[in-house]
Formats: sequence, structure tokens, C-alpha cells
Amino acid sequence: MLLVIFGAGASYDSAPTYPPGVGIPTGDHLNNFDRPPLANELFADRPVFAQAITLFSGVRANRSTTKKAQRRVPGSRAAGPTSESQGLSTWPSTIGCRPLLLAIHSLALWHSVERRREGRYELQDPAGPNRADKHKERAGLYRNIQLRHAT
Amino acid sequence: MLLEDALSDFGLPIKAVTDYTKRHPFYKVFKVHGSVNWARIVDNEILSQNPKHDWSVTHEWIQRAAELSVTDNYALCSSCPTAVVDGRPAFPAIAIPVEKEKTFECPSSLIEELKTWLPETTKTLVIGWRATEEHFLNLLKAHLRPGLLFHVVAGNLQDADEVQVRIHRALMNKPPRHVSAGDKGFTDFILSGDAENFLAM
Repeated sequence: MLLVIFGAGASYDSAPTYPPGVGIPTGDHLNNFDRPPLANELFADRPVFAQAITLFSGVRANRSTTKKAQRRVPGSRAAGPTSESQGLSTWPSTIGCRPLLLAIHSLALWHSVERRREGRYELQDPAGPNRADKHKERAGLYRNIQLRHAT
Repeated sequence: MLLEDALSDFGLPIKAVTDYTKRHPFYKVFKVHGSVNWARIVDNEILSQNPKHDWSVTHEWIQRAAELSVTDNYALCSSCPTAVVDGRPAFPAIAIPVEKEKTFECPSSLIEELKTWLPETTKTLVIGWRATEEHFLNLLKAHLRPGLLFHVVAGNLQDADEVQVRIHRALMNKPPRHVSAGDKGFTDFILSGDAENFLAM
């Protein structure tokens, strides 16, 4: 029997057209917006994460928690203590993490919805849509999220 | 969710939590750290004036985080954010990865089922996993047999080396027969034919 263990790195490198490290003609938009993060980038100050956090006022008020949390993820690139053993025992309790979890979860779900939408595009048009159209689509989704939040 | 999408192409559509292991004769999927489309039912009553509005309930959960009673009753969900599932109050079932995690974010029945399957393993493929989670490593150590074939797929040489060392260290009492590694990532592993070669071994 074959056992396959998938970690975050599997989804990170799950787009064969754009493997990590390949130069992207339109800039780094893909890495900032579309690529699911590695575990050590979960709380990093990426544009989509920052956007998602702003939707959760309770979390935004406690932004320092996310910075502390990032330092506690093994291999984190955040400033501050990054040793794998350091700080892990003081990781916020499950309860303390709950607001942050809600934000992370919503962000992950957002990624998932976005990828499914793009996947459907590719099924309809093997050549894929024009990237500018994709960006317009993405901007529309942002507006939709903000609108839902406001209502 | 990427995995669920892929599995639906192989005759394994996931419509309920039990589908992950009960629906298909040979594909068994165990998501030990939860999933973006999983929720746990909450025992607390929703106080929000709009109890069906996900955003209202989410903000309520943030304010009441410390008093929430999150049950072990898992459900699939598709709303964003996840706060209400089929009219029931719910909380996202997903874990933040840390080394010293003590529990899995997964129904205990699935973990028990995983324990019964692990001894049947003959080959293990590790893709994009750093092998740092002690709790899961202990599960492998307790239930895998010695003499397995391992292949590690990592994004660079240093990660590949570190994962191999961690696997050897964790399975010191049940040493694998052979551990190999690729350092060019998942995409290359598939496109280069290395995946087929490993499966044919």
C-alpha cells in the first residue's frame, strides 16, 4: 500500500505553468495573490493576508498577535526569534488563536474559491484567459468580499 | 480542496466527512490538520441579531472566542467565512501548524482508522512536508512497519536533506529500507517521470 503525505509545499508547487522561482512576466502578482502559502509564510505580511485581516476587526486590533504567531511557526522568515525550539511552548492557547484562525480559514477558503474559478476558466479555454481579465476578475471578487462585509 | 477536486476526477467526490475513507475501495484520505471546508459544530447559542449572516456570526465568535464550546462534531461547509453550517453554529476546523501540537484537527474515528491502515504501508511518498510535527511523526513511528521505501519531494537540496534526516531520526527503531529524495519540487517530480519511476519500484 502506498502512503502519500502531502504538506503545504505540495499545494505551493501545484501550478505546473508557474513553478516557484520562475520569473513571471507581469511581476510578482501570482506569488503574492494566488500561490497558497507555505507554513512558514502563513502569517507573513502578504497582500491577500493583510486584506483578509482588515475584514476582521477583532484580529486587526491585535495585529501584534499575528507577528508573534509567525515567529512561532517553524522555519519562519519573520524578524525576531526564529529558532524551531524557541517560543513554541508559549504558542497562544487554542482559545487565544481562535480569532486568528477565523481569519486564516477565510483566507484559505478565498484562495480555494479563486482557484476553482480560474480552473473553470481553463477548462473552458485551454489557452487560459488573458491575465488582465484575471486581474479584473480578482478585483471584482475583492469588492464582493468588502460589500458582503459592509452589509 | 485541491486534493478533493483532483479526487473527484477519480470517482471520489467528497460530499460528507465519511466519504474521505468509506466511499472509495482503495483511496483513503486523512486530513489530520483539518481543512478549509471543514467546520466543528459549536454548542453556544448565536446571540447575533442576524443568526444566518455568516459575517455577523463570525464577528460574534471573535468577540466571544474564549467562551466558545467547540464540539467534536465535524461537518463539511462551503460558506466564507464559516460560522453557520446548515443552520447550526460552527467554527472552522483547521489547525495552525506547530511542532508541538498535541491533537489532530480531525474526527477521532478517522485517526483510529488511519492507525489500522498504517501497518499496511509498503511505500511512502512525502511531498512538500517538512516532517517537523512531532505528533504526526509519533503516529508514524508507532504504526509503520520497518523496512519501508521512502521518497521525499522537496523544493531544494537543503530541505530534502533535512526531511530525510528527520524521517531517519523519527523512525530510528523501525528504520526504512531506503530513503531517496528529489530537490526540484512537486511539479518537476511529476513532469520528469520520477513519480512513475518511484511507483514502479
